[in-house]
Amino acid sequence: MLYLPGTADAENAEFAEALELAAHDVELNRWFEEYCKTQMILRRRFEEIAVPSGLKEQIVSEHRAWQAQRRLRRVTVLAGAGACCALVLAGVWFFRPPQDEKTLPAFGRRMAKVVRTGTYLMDVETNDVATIRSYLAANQAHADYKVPKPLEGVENTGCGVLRWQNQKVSMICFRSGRPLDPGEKSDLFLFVIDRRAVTDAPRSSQPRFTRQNQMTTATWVEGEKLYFLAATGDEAFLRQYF
Amino acid sequence: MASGMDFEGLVARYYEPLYKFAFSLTREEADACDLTQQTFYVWAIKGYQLRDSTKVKTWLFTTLHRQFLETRRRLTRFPQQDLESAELELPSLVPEIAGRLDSASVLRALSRVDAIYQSPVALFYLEGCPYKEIAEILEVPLGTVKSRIARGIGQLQKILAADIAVNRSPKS
Repeated sequence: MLYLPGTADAENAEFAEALELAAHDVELNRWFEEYCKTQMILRRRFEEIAVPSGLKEQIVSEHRAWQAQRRLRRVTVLAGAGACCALVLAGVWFFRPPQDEKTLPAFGRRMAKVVRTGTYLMDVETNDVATIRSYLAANQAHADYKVPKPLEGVENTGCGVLRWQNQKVSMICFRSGRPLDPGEKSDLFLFVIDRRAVTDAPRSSQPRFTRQNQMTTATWVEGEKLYFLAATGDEAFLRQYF
Repeated sequence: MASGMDFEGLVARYYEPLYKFAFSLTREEADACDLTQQTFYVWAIKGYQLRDSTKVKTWLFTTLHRQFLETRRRLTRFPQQDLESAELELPSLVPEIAGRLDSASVLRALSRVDAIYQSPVALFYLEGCPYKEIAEILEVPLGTVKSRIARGIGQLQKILAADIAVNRSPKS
């Protein structure tokens, strides 16, 4: 009664003796063949159950929404927990020599940390460059940024406007095509800031590569803007975009 | 670790068989969709606890079955019976008759089988799971699974044969 044709049951030792018996008994063999045909028909009927179209997409989109909400909750909880500490540290912060905070390493650490800890949130999610530039311009951030030629062909995922040392920083996000962790949409991040906001900004338009907080970064200057490109991975991965 | 498995890849691979299993139990599209979505939601929250990635399928089906049971009033447990002592009758459902049935007829008949047999019978036909795997999914002993499948199939085929005889379920 439990034998299901077309499955591993044919190799199951439990059924070997019964199958052998059926092979040598005409009446039993006839019954067994009918039984197998009936089981296959029933199996097909179960497999014919129609799956609603769009179910997979619905499951995935709800998961993404849940991921975004969870990330926001984490930020909120951290912000709340840090509020008390911030009050205590505010005084220390106020009296720190300002020059230390406006250096290139400080800027790089801050931007790399934003990416590495996942606390970045795109204000706009889009793969359209014009939409990105339009949003940045509307928010008085750097919209007329220039990317290296190889980076022009990489898919955009969105943008955001950050603040650092009271300066606006444009964040433009990309998706390189590498496999991403669940819930992640971007793995390449470009930050643009006024070069005068960083005291020791480089003078060269040639990228300078460093490691910051488990990320590889490239820094260069063009015109009045300082560019900071960050991604997880090694230098070779980032160099392909120059 | 199983938690490293890509969520969307997991959905793509298992959402159809999970939905079919859910639908075979609920016979309602909305309920089956809910069960399927809820299963993946539970995976998102708790899937990291599964260390053996080869057990993902069993984990998902077990979770869906538990979700199903939580939404239904649980029947009293049937005592475990040895397969040899169960009253088994050769079904009168021959291929010529079975071929006249459609999917809806079979599922309607399954809904009239004793509730405790429905899940093992559905897994038996849908996934062609080994009995050991069905036992793991349903969290019952192997012997219990075999007896429930045997009795469930017997009931299913008797119901189908009777339906055909009174012309209750013409092929659509």
